[in-house]
Amino acid sequence: MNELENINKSPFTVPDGYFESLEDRIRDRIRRPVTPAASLMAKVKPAFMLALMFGAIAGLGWIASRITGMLYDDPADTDDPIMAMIEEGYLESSFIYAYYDEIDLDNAFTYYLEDNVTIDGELEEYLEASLTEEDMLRYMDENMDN
Amino acid sequence: MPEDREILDAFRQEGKEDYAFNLLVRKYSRDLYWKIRRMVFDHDDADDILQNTFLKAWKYLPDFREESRLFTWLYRIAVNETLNFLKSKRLRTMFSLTGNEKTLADKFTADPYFTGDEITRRLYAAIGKLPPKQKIVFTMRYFDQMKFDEIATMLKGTTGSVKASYHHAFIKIKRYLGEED
Repeated sequence: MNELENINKSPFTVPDGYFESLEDRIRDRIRRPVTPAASLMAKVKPAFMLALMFGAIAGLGWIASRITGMLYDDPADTDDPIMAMIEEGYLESSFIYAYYDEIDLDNAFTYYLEDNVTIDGELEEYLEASLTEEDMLRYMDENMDN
Repeated sequence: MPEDREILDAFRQEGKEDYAFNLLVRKYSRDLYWKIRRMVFDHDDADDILQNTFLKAWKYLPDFREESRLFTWLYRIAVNETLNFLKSKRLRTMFSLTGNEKTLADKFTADPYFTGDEITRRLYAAIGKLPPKQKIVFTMRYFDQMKFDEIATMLKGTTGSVKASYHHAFIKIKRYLGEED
C-alpha cells in the first residue's frame, strides 16, 4: 500500500461545459410535470411486482410438489386400478413397477382374488355373497356349454 | 460565493426561490459532484445522483431546520442517494443474465473521462469490488480524510461500525492489489 501514498486522487474529468449547464438541467427537471399516469404506475408497480413474485413462488411450489408426489391425490380419483391399489396399500409399488408392463390390467382384479381368497369353498362363498342370482345365471349362460 | 444565510433568506422570500436555488447549485455542485464521482466512478451515474440530490434539496429545503451547515445537509442526501444507487446496481449485477464480462479495470481503460495512471486504475478497480457501505466509508476516509465519527454521523451509524467497515475495506483492497502483482 506504500505505493498508494503518491497516487493521483483525482483521475476523473467531466465533459466540457458540464458544470456550466448543470443549473439549467436541474431547473428543467424541477419544472418537468409528473404525469398522473406515470405517477399511478409508479405507485402500483411495486405492489404488482410483489404479487407477481408471490404468484411465481406459489406456482413453482405447486409444480415441485406435483413432481415429488407430495401433493395429496385421492386414490378414488385415478382410473388406473393398479395405481389405486398401490395407493391404498394393497400392493407394493416396487413389485408393480418392475412387472407393470407384463400385467394384464383387465384381469388384475381376478389375480387379486386368486391371491387373496383360498379355493376351499371360500371363493364360492365370496361369489355367492357378492353376486346376485341374476348375475350368476347370466355368467353361466355366457360361459357354460349346453 | 454567497453565505448559507443569504441563500436561505432568499429562498424564503416569495418570488426569489429560483434565484436562491441557482445560488445553492452554483455554490455546492462541484464539491458534491467530485465526492459522488469517486464513489460511483462513472460520469453519467454521478450526474444522475447529483441531479437527484438537488431535486430532493428543492423539495425539502422549506423544511430545513438549520441544525447543520447546508453543505453537510446536501452531502448527507448525496450519500444516501449514492448508497441506494450502489445497492441497486449490485443487485442488478447479481441477477444480470448477460454477466459482467468487462472488468472495472477494462472500463477505466475505455473511459474517456478517466485519466489515472496504472496504479490509480488498479486502486479504483479494487475499490470498485468493495460492498457499497465499505466503498463509501473507505472513500470518505481515504480521499476526504474525514474523521470516523463524522462518517458515522453522515451514515447514521456508530463510530465502531465505521472503523470496522474501513478496516475490512483496507484489508480487501490490500489483498486485491496483492493478487494483481
